[in-house]
Formats: sequence, structure tokens, C-alpha cells
Amino acid sequence: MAATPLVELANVGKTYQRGAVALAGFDLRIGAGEFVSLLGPSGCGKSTALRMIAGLSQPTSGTIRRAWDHQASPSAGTDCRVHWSHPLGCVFQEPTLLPWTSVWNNVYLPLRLRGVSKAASKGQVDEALTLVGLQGFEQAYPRELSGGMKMRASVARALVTRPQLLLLDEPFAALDEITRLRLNDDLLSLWRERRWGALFITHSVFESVYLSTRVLVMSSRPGRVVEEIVVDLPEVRTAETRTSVRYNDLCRRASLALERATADAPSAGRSA
Amino acid sequence: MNERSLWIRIGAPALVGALLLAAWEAWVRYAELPKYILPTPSEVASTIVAQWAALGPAWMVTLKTMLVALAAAVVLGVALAALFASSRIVETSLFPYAVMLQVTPLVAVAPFIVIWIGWERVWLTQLVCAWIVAFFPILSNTTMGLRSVDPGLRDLFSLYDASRWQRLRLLLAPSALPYFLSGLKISANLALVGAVVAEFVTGTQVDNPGLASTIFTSQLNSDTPLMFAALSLISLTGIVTFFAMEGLSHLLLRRWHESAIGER
Repeated sequence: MAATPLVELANVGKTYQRGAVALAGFDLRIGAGEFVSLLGPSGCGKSTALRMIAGLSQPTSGTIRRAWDHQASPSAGTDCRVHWSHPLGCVFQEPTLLPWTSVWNNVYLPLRLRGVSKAASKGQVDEALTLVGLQGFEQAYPRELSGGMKMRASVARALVTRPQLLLLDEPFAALDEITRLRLNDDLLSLWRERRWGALFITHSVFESVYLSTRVLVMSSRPGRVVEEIVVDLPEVRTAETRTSVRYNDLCRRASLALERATADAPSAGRSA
Repeated sequence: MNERSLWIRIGAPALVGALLLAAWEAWVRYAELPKYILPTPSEVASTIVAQWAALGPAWMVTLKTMLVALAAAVVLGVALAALFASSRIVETSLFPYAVMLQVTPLVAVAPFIVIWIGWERVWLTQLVCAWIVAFFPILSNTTMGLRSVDPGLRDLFSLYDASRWQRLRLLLAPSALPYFLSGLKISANLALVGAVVAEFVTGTQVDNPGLASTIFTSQLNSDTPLMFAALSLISLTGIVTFFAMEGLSHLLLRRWHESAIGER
């Protein structure tokens, strides 16, 4: 793991106003270039952890340190705005595209919110669209795309700022199996090429092992990391990876860890 | 197929209209009804032409009341909706009064407005009456639209530190647009209803009579053809308004909103 992590959560807790404890004693480090999966039963606080890293929710205890928190943001007037990179990209469970505008404008949105002109953004937006294989669909509206293509547009939007850390909250869970496998492979090859840090949230054992360099298994109520599995598979992963002994061994370990984590929790947590 | 369905959509109602007018004309002539009971369509048409010097300006008066009232309803309705959407407490405190304004029949309120604003400012009285009825659909629909923003998109805008102005322009306004437009459709025709009711309430003692005032006055003179002439201009205004609003809505929403997308 890198000496200075991109993100470090130490002893983080989150208690909601009505007293429900989502997370307690939650620790997490993501180093540069790591692909970390957070694996846990639904309702265990995975998404809460992601929202806190993204700054969309505040912890009620503990500390969150982000590598870019102390970086000076480019001062107004300097000409680095075009290449200014928002350190975070986020892909939600839903594509969350603006329905009233084109794919191109959707991918341009993060730069637009930074005040970068259309002309100056063109290179970056076109590049992001090419990365996810959406060239030719720039002028299409979201409703004209299939579910998988909408997710591709959403990934392009997250990558357009050239982030250091990409957060993915069960991004392909709503898609059919074939599309999901395809998008996972494309995501992996992008990651190998670009090497952002990634935090991938999932409740699928197989998906987490296939994608990651590290799998963190969570227990529910309150959510915390109970087991860490380092995935020492070769970096290039294919359909053959899924039949390899090592892959299946790791999946078994993750399954058992998940089972233990769910068994420890009170029964209410299991059905959540 | 598309062109054929367009012909049916325009041609079929036009044919029905023509048949009804012809039947009306034939029946009145056959039964020899006096024209103070029921004039024929051709008599109504010739009255419009003959009385144009009076009807034209009257039409403009009613049209002006309606359009200015609608514009005021849009401005104040949207402004108040923005206020409601930004603060629950403001909405909770004021909404019952907005409802009260809406559910109290205009005809019952209008005499008070006449007294408060005064006979010397009749047009302003009419304008306020039309505004009262036109205002509410825009307010309630826009408020609902501003509240129906996709929470995922809200998160996205927070993630990228969008300013208030960026949120308003790039997220809230487009999200609320379909709701606003359906409010506008209702309000536009209510503004006409309000203008007509107001003219009836303010009666005959006005310097610049509108179309409804014309109906009122010609009723006193038993000038039925003139009544029909004014009525048909009011109907025409309503029909044109309706289709103008449909067209506007279609133009703004056709690429993305389900309501404007027909079968493909």
C-alpha cells in the first residue's frame, strides 16, 4: 500500500438522528492505484461510508482524511483550470443523468460546474466518451440509450475530471448479467490504463474478487470491516480467471467471511 | 401514416364543426326563428364584420386583461414557488392562504375588489380578478416541480460544489419545467375565465368595454347576434390559447419528457 493513502477513515461512526447506528469503529485506507471492494449485506452501511468519503454526509465520530484536502486549489486567473482535476469521481447506483440534455452535455457537466468553457472542455469530454465506448452517441438523449449505455455515460462523467479516486456504489447492479460482466471488464481495463484509486461497493462475492486488489468484508449493524482479503490474482483478468483455482479459493474465503459477518449480526440486520 | 393521422386530427373536427354550423343555419331558417332568439351562423359572421369597429377594441381589452394577468401570475407564482421550495416553514405558513384565494369563488370576491380598487380604475380591478384565478395552478405546480428534483442529481451537484445559481439554472429550473408548463396550461385558460367574470362583475359602466361587457350590454338591448359575435371571439381566444400552450409545451419537452413523447 502507498505510504500516503488517498483516503483514510479512522474509527468513523455514523449515528442517524433517530438513533440508528449505520457505522461504528469503521476503518478504511485506500492507497493510490488500489482497487478496493467493500463487500457486505444490504443495509450494512456500505453506501453510507461511500457518501462520507464523497463529502455528501458527515461522520458523527472519527476522522476522514483525504489526500487532496490540503492541496491548494488553483487560484483564479491561473490558466490551469482546463486541466484542473476534481479529485473525486462518483458513479451512483442509478445513472443519474440529466434527462433534458445530450450525453455530451451530461459528461461536460462536472467541468461546466467548474466554469470551464465548452470549447476548452471538448478534448477532455470527447476523450472520456471514447474511453467508455460512447463515441457516436454524443448528441443522443439519455432516454434514447439502453441501461448499459446510460451507465457508460455515467462512468464517462465521473472520469472526465481525471479523478484520483473513483467511487462506485453498486453501479451495475440493476443491469442484466451479460451487460454487467462486459462493463466490469471494461472498467478493469480502464483502471489498468489509468490507475485511479477505486472504491467499489457491491454485495456480490464474485464481482468483488474479480475486480479488486483488495476485498473488505463488512458486518452489518453497526457496519464495520471484519475481514480483509488481498486478491493476488494476475492483473489481467479474463473469463478464464473465473475458472481458476485461486479465484475460486478467494471467492470461498470471501463467502465464508460474509457468512460469519452476517451470522454475528442480530437477525434484524440480516433482513435489512 | 403520420401525414394521414394529422389530416384526421384536423379534418375530422373541422368536418363535425362544418356539419353542426350547417345544421344550425338550416334549422333556424326552416323554423323561421327570430334572430333575437337565435341568429344563424351567417348572421353572427356578418355581425362580426359589421360591428368590427366596436368588437375589435373590445377583443383587445379582454385579451390585454388576460395576458397581463397571466404574465403577473407567472412572475408571482414562480417567485412564490421558489420561496416555498426553499423553506418549508414559509410554505406551511402561507399555503393555506393561497388555497383560500383559490377556493373562494371569484364572483363572490370580485365586488370587494371593485370597492377597494375603485370604479375609476376598472381595468385594474379586472386585472386583479383574472390574476387571482390564474395564479394558483402555477404556484402549486411549480412548487411541486421544484420539490421533485431527483435526489441523485442533487448529490451530483453537491459533489462538484455547484453554486446556488448553478443549481437553480442547471438543475431546479429544468426539473420543474414540465410541472410549470402543465400549470401554465391551466392558468392561461383560467386567466381568460377570470377576465370574462371580472367584466361581468364590473358591468356596463365602463369606458373601455371588453368582450364580456359587450355581451352584458347587448343582452340588455336584446341584440342577440352581437352577443353571439362577442361569444364566438371569446371561444376563439380560448381555443387558440389552449393550442398555443400545447405547442409551447411540446416544443420545450419533446426531446426528453415522457409527457411529450408519443409512440415512436
